[in-house]
Amino acid sequence: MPTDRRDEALGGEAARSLFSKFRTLLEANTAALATMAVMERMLGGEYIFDRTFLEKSAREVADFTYQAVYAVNAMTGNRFVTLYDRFMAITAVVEDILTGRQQEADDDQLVRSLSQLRLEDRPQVGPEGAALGELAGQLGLFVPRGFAVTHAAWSNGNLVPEAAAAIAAALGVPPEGPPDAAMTVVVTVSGADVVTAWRKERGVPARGEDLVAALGGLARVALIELGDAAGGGRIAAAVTAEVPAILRGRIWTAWREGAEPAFLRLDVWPEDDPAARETLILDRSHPFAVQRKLPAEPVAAGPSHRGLQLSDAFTLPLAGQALAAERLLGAPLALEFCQDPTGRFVFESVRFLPQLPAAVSISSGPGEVLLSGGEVACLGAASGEVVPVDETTATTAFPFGAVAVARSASPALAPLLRRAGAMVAEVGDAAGHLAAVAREYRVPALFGLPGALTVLTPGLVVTVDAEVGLVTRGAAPSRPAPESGLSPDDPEYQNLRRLLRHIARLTLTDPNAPNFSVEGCRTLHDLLHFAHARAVDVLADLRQVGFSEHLAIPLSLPVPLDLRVLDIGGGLASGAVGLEAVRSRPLAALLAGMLVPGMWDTTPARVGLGEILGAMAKTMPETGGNLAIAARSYCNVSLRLGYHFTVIDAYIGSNPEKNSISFRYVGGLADAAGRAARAAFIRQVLARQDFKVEVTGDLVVARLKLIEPETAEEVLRLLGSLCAFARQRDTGLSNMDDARALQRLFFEIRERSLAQQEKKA
Amino acid sequence: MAHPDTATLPTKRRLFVLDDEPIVVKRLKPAFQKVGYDVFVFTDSVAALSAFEDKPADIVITDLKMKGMDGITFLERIKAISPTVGVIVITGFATLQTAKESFHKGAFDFVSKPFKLADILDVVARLEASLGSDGHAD
Repeated sequence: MPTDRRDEALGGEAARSLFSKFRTLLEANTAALATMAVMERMLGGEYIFDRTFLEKSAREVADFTYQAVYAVNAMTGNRFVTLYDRFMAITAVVEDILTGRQQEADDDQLVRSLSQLRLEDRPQVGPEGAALGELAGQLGLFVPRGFAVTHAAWSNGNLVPEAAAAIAAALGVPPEGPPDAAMTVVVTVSGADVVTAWRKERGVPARGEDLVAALGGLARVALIELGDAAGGGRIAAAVTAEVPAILRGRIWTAWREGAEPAFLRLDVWPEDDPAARETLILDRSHPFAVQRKLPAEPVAAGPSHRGLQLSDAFTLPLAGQALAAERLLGAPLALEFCQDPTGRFVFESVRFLPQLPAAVSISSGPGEVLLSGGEVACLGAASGEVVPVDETTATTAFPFGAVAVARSASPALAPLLRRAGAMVAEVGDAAGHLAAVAREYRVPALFGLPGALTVLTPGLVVTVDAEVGLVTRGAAPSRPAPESGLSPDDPEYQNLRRLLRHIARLTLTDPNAPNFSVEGCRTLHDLLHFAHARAVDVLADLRQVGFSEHLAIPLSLPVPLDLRVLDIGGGLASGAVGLEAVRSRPLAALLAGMLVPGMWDTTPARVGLGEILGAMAKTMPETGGNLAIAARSYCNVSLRLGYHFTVIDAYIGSNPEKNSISFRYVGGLADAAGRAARAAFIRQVLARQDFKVEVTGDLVVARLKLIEPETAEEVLRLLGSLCAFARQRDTGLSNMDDARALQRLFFEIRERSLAQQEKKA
Repeated sequence: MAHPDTATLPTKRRLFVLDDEPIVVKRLKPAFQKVGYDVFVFTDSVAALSAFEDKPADIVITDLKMKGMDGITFLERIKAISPTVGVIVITGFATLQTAKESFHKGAFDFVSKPFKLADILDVVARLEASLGSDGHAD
């Protein structure tokens, strides 16, 4: 490509300046991600931290984000100046949290949807709404649709005039319920941490005036009951749609009748016959053995009932879910639930109970030590039967509350953690994705315990105590929150979660989605991600800033991959044109993987007319061809191979906390079943490498972070092989069996080729 | 029970934790109780000094930067009362200078916040090993 005059003028120094700004952005991005990772690890309770740490970390991420925003504007002639406004708005919220003002965007709302709420919203929405939101949002438990009437909606014990309109508006918006539905109202009056009054009314008509009357009435009763103690109490309420039920029940997660230890109590009755109530007293640990049953004989109540005959299939999931809720919320609970006609358990209300006295809750003397050491992914202790798991374990087959034992702490196991009472893995560390998920669900987890699968045999009852790094034989009474861990009640825990919500949450994931915009940036992580994506766009299309593309050097490779490399510093050695020219550590690994013999199939793809027509109906991402932006520790590679568009963005340095690989794969010729099978094939391959994978239609997005540099290279070599392999071979897929067969073929060919390569070497 | 009754262990060592952030002392207290210490926690250095004057501790874990009397002054004062007390300094403002000063004033070790529970337990175990059976440094 001939060099134009503009390039000569701009080339050299201007290009170096542009690349330097990009590197600044990159460094800010990776440093911010590393700091976020450290903050996130604090949730696990293993670390002691203080306010100074939170202030320092949050401001550090903000500084790095500012550098990224500045850099992308410097690269684009200030095309994204409004990013500064978003930055200021988000950092103002972060500062408010740090200084204790805690003014967030939603704080002045009088009514908030339950599905949006989390535990850290408790001061604004009360314990009931925050708990229901947390159970649904974090654990995926079913809760009724509804909304919270926030603390801001009350003044001197009464609803403010504007609240009525807000409640009516919330009712009018589907899917909060049809106008003739009945609602349940729970009003709480809380002190700083402790609920002091809880009042509930069922069967309130779903009309604004009825709800306002019920809310006002319940609040008055609660305040009268509290008397002088009500002074300074915060009123809030949860309003939920009543669920059609066949059975109703109540669970106390820590029930004591004078003597220790505490048990789990389960009361159940038919919806149409409350008198036919049955009570089970169960162990507080998996497999939740029944200790007592009341009444001893089934009550023949009503013509259609011959006792409830509660089976394990009914009680065990309920017990497991209740204890998972207790762990997540950090306190003993009284939960009200119902079973709807489809058989689902719906948790309708959550009441926090006083913590167990230490004498009851502290674990008893440990049994025989089976394993010790490992890394603490999440503090806590739990007992249960051992269930070995791997990536093929069906989530629905995993018993609630059991102890999951795995070879590797793969992110593919994340869904199991919603059910597991504790988790042990032979390989893995506290920095990985699965560890983060364990912290999210507050599941006690120890990773890096070699021999776990051998020692912890299926069905053996063990206690995992992450606090002391032991797995012991037998069950031990557990407590809702670790003794020296960070309790969900601690303001520091809630502040950390609030900060992470505005700093580390990533809400922009798809660069092609409509909300991938400046206005769509809601967190510092969003700003970093957006700035990085736009900066990459600039380098991928240098014409935007006045360069021709001749700066990208064609690379000569033994496969027909028309790849140009834009060296932004240390990516290429001068004077060479082949693979030996590549100095970029991640790019070299990726290309080495592509060149593994057998991966690059040159046979034309078998494509049917239907597949071609299917592809024509889709909009393919625009691309300037195959381009690698490369620095010594970084590469961003855009590939159009076959009919697929792939982007790999990778950073490999010496600090694992800064290392990351992201992978996007979209397009291809196939019908809907074929595309689903292709996505499944790629997801299976990536999940084996511990990627966190999300599949949306055609689009596969995968991320891997916090990895040792050698592991990152190995993974990139595999990604290179995958890109080459998937280029032609995924067109014939039509179902999930094909996907599994292709996955086997991929690994067989690759492993055979690597073995041959090794032999030759 | 995992935790032996305090009353049955006459040789139990006294351990003070001083940090002006309640979350730090709240979390360290059960961790050290669990491994058998008689733990007293303070968020105010003057109150901690007063308690130390009444009855010195064997081991003290103290923050450096606090309102009122800072950690270095507190360290000097308790060392003056009981030269054998083992002191571990914890701080979120770790610099080489503060570390040097802490050691110079007689601290056994210096730990930067945030730290792992297991790490501080290890440091105290090392300090414990250096103390004689009468509770004083060898």
